[in-house]
Amino acid sequence: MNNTNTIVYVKVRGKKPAGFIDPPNFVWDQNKEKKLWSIISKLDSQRNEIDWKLISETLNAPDYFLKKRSYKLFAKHLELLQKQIDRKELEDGSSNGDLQKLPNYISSLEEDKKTIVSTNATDNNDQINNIPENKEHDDENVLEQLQASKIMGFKRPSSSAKDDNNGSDSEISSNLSVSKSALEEALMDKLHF
Amino acid sequence: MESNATTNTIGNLTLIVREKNIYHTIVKDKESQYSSSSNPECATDVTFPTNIKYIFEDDEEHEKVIGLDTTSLGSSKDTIENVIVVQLDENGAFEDVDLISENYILLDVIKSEDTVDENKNISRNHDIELQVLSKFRDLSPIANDLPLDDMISLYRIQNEQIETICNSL
Repeated sequence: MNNTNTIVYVKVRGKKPAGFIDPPNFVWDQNKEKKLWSIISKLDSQRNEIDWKLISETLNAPDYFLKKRSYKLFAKHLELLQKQIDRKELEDGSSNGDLQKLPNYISSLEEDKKTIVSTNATDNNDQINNIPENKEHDDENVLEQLQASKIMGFKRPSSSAKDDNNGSDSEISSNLSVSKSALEEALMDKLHF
Repeated sequence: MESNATTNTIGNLTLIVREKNIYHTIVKDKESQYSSSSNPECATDVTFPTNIKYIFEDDEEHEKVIGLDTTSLGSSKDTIENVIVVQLDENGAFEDVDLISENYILLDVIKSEDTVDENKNISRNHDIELQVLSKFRDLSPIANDLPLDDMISLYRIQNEQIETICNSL
């Protein structure tokens, strides 16, 4: 559809008013729309300083039409500007939202870190708490072995066997005492007492 | 003695035809992908019919035009493909609009009216937008790489348009 293959009939009830003439036929397309916007968008003066007559002559279109199109173009551009502002605010809002979430995220990370540290600490404490027991246990074993080696190859019975052999302690003691007296006698003999 | 009677005069008519074929929607979307800002003044889906003839029903001369005596159209009589008929009442108020065309179908009309009162001389200015649909085109060359969501949206729009056409028959 264009201006050459389209005609508009306006049917009006009543008689033709005196002096009425049909509006002028002119061409209006995207190029002229662009030109109009390039003119009006650069205007920074007051409304009464816009020379519509000059614009009308330049673009070969009636001033009522130019005013209508100018209004529409400004409205459309303002609408686009508003959309851009809304989009920008939305983007900023979402990024601010992320920033607002950041402290919570950091605190949650810190909580996780604390949990991990406390878990490790518990494990370590368990290990630390276990170490003396084990060490004591090991030391005890070593001491037992040492004591056993001291007593001329006599191996101390294990704790489990202790209860069973409660009565044998006196025998050990007597054995030791016997050994000691035997040594004393041998020494006496050596010294010729 | 000054008369208090008001008279109605014929105001200005600004007419816009906006094509609602989804072809333009696809083209616009594609352009907006490659351009940071869209230009309303560069819309390709809009035309401005400015070849306007007034017919006054009580006027004797109108019968020539109603009978499409195209002598008034001059050399353009062979090139006219679309006829838009706007009906106004005796006060210049909008009544109806129709589109006679083999290539376009009228979908909807958006109209606004402002009244100007100058020295008890009232004139009504009309701003009419016709939303029309042209013949359906083969969209495959431009719609192949569209996301599924867009395709669904376009399919929905086209279905609504077909429904509107069917309801108007």
